[in-house]
Order: sequence, then structure tokens, then C-alpha cells
Amino acid sequence: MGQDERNYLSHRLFPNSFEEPFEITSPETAAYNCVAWAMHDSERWWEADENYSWKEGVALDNTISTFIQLFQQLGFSVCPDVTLEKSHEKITLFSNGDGDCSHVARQLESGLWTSKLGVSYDVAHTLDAIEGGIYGKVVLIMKKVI
Amino acid sequence: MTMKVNITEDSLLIEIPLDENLDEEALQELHFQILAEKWKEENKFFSFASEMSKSPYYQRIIAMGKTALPFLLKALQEEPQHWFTALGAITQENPVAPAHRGNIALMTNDWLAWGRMNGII
Repeated sequence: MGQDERNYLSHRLFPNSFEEPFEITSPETAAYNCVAWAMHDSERWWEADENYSWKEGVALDNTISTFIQLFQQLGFSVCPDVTLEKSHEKITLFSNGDGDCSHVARQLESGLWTSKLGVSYDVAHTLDAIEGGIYGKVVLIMKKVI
Repeated sequence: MTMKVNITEDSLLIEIPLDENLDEEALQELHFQILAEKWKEENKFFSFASEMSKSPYYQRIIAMGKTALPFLLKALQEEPQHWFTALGAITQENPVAPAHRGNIALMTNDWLAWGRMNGII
């Protein structure tokens, strides 16, 4: 990735990433998205749409409550903070304030977070690096026992 | 020779070399390629295909109707990408096997098989 493209990312779409850790960690691919990546799946694109992978019985919409239901079925529960816990894996749901989920990130053992950015790259980042950009801000934290 | 590509309220003027002898199909394909490139460039960070397909570039491709089908399938052959909503909207069909949903490579194969069966590619 050239510096120009990184600047494009940083300034236009994730303005805080210029000051915060924001490391590209994969090639670009349309094979999976952030929801899949949050559940360690790099083979499928997960979306509330009849074309894509989704959990049976979970509503076909992007509301935060639907995503809570989805991740609860995968063993996650809502938790109060992003403090790193060795016994748990945490994810954060982002929203632009419209009640819909815009993005999901997963916490790494290092305390940083990993995100798949649409059909583009995976990045390792702080939450501040992503917040304030096209995904809005963190609105919910969930965790599950590792 | 120039080509005007209507995208939204603005238009994009494409310069084509004078010695380029493009027929109608080639011009349509060029139109598609420009829209597809702009779509990918401006929407690749959205988390969901449903958001990406709201793009005016994507909607212009859907509006091309059946003319766009060979270009969409050719684009899928070259690079797996989220053209499934456009293909479904234009054809009103969904040849993807339920077990293949979400697997972009297998979804692509199903659509390409549909294209061959229908003599489009």
C-alpha cells in the first residue's frame, strides 16, 4: 500500500488513524467481511441478506439488537468495558447513530483490535483509530469465554 | 472522440483516443468499466454489500439492464466481487445454491454456470 493510499484512508475515512496505530495486516479480498472476521471466519461473507451467510432465526436487518442476537447465538454476552481479559474474547459493535450496526471489531491478545474493512484489508488498530470515521463510534461491547 | 458517462447529477467526460474505433457494445462495456471502477473505489470500506449497492454507480449499472449482464459476469470471472445484488435485480433470478450463500467463490461459480447455461458467456 502506497503512502498516498494510506493518507486517503487516514484522512478521509478514518481521520483518527493518522495519530493512532493502524496497521494493514492482509491483502484485499471480497471473500469475508468484518462480521465474519469477528468470528474468525475468513471463508464467508456474513450479512443479514438472503444472498449471504446468516444465522437461522435471526432477523434480516442491521439493527444493533439483531447483532446482539446474532452474537449471543455464537456465545457472546454484553459486557461493560473493553479491558483486556485473558479468559475472554471481546468484540465491539459500531454505529453511526441510526440504530444500525456499521462495523464489528475483535480484540487481539495484544489489546489492539482487528478489523476487516469492507472488501478491503484487515487492519490492527486502536478503537480510537477507527472511531470518528465512516463507522461512527463504538456503541456496544460483547465478550465470550475463550 | 469523447464519451459522456452519466453517473449522478454530474457527468464524467471520458476522453477516447481518435484512432479508437469503438462499436456500441464496446462503448457500453467501457461505460460499465468506469462505473464499476468508481463503485469499487468509493465503496470498498462499507461493511455490508447492501450498503455498497446503494451507490449511484452501482444503481447506474443495474439501470443498464440486460446490457450489463455479460459485463457483470465477465467482471466476476476476473475478480470475485459483490455483483450478486445487481445480477439478481436485472435477471430476477438467484441461481446460488443455499449451501453456497456467503461463500463468494462458490456464489461466483453458480452465477457463471447460470451465464453459460443462458448463453451469455
